[in-house]
Amino acid sequence: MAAPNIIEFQGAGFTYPSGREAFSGIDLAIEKGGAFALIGSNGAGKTTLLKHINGLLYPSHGRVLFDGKEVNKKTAPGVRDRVGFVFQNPDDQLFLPTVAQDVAFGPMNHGLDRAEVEKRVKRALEVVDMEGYEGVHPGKLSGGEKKRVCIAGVLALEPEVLVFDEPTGGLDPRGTRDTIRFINKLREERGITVVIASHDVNVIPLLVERVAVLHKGRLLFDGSVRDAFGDRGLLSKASMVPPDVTRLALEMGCCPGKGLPLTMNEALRYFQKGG
Amino acid sequence: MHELFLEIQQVASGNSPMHRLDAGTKLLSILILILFAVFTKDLFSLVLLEIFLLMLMAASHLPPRYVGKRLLFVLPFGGFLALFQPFIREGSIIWSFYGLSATYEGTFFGALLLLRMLVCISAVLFLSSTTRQEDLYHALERFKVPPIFISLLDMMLRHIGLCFESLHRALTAQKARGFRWRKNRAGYRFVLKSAGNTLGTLFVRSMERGERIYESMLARGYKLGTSYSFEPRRRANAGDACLLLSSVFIVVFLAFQDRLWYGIGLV
Repeated sequence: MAAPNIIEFQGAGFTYPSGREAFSGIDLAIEKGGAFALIGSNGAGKTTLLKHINGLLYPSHGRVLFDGKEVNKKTAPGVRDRVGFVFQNPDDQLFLPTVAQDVAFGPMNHGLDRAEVEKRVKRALEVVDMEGYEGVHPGKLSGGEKKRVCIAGVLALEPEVLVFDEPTGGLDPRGTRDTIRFINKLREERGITVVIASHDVNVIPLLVERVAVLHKGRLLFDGSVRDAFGDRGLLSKASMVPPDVTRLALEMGCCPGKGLPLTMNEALRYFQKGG
Repeated sequence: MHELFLEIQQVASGNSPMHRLDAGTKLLSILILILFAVFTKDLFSLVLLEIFLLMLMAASHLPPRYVGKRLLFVLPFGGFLALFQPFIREGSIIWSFYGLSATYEGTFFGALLLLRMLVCISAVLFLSSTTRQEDLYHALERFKVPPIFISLLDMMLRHIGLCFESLHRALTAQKARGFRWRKNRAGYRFVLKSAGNTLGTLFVRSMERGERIYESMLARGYKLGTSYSFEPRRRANAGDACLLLSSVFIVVFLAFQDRLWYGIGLV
């Protein structure tokens, strides 16, 4: 039996106060415990769409449901308690004088007592390998470290759903690898539902099984990551390219359909078998 | 706040006869009006001046709501100052209440203060809502305002926008982690502390960002006094002359309409 849907978009659309349309007619369902990525070029409407999940924005038409209930002004605070949102730019999130205080910000807002907050801060920093940085000023951290503190700050809320806006944007290869590892670990160990918006096509197959392709506010595709990246017509329509290894395989005219490699490991296995 | 700021820029790039007038002419005209408003002691003149400015704004097709919202901003600042005047000025007492007495002179001065502010803000609103920023800088350049002042004005306006934007993003990120201004579950002190830290961070970030922007400007060959205009200069036309002359005319008329030169205190 399929897991129940935790997030549902029903004919949702959003128009900015200026009259510019961000997206419209979006129908999407994300199941509990799943990993889902929204991909598309810059300005496709990914971030705006993500912000509807926890009621940072409300749809101009249609509905957004969280756990079966409509997200609106009344329900949004409750939804925000259950959905963690990691923003693209860590500097938007970090604003307190020490790492520990910043990670504690969310739990404090939940009105938890001091002992519980401290426990959660410790645990969250452990998950992202940032123990020992409690008293450091976030301004003194590197980009990758800031990102990890941001993830910890959201993990401390013990959310059921984690939303990442460009999780690997601006990170070096090591930071990218670490972030992928944390996200996958959280899914496996805690069964957290993961929703990602990204245009980093090389990273997406390492994180999710299902993608939706957004282009100029319209949903072009919703299905498996392999089907999306194997379809060059779809990708060029969305101004995107397949992952590097997939592109290489496609250019060489081999491994059509199910065998198409999406990650470096898949490609290695494929070529070691002798193509 | 951010929306208010963006709205001015949107309205200022409109297209009405007033928008098309030369920025320098508009600047000069409102300077004349403001100078008169500051020196006159005649309430009736100020009312007439305000009506003239409202007519100018109507001719600029400014939305009434847009104008009303901004003129109401006079109240919390100017209104507060004006409200005190009747009680702190000496003069003939018109009524008293438990030792607190209001004077005629104070009431008059309060009304004068409020009207002056209203006229000055209306004048500035007319200018800023019908003139694009770069046209204004160009006009200031022609009036031989030192380039450093123009640069400062330009940088300030640009950074206000950026500042609001980053504040907005920070507040969104806090909301996402369950922060509430009212009924926060961590208590009122926590809300105050968060607000203080947000502001502090905003200051530091703005400074750092300002430096980055300046460096990137230098890297693109920016020098103080780089001209702001790339459009060819337009010669003043009949419309420009019309606005300037009518401003001069109304000021002279108002100055004379009571007793000669009484208003600007030359007697």
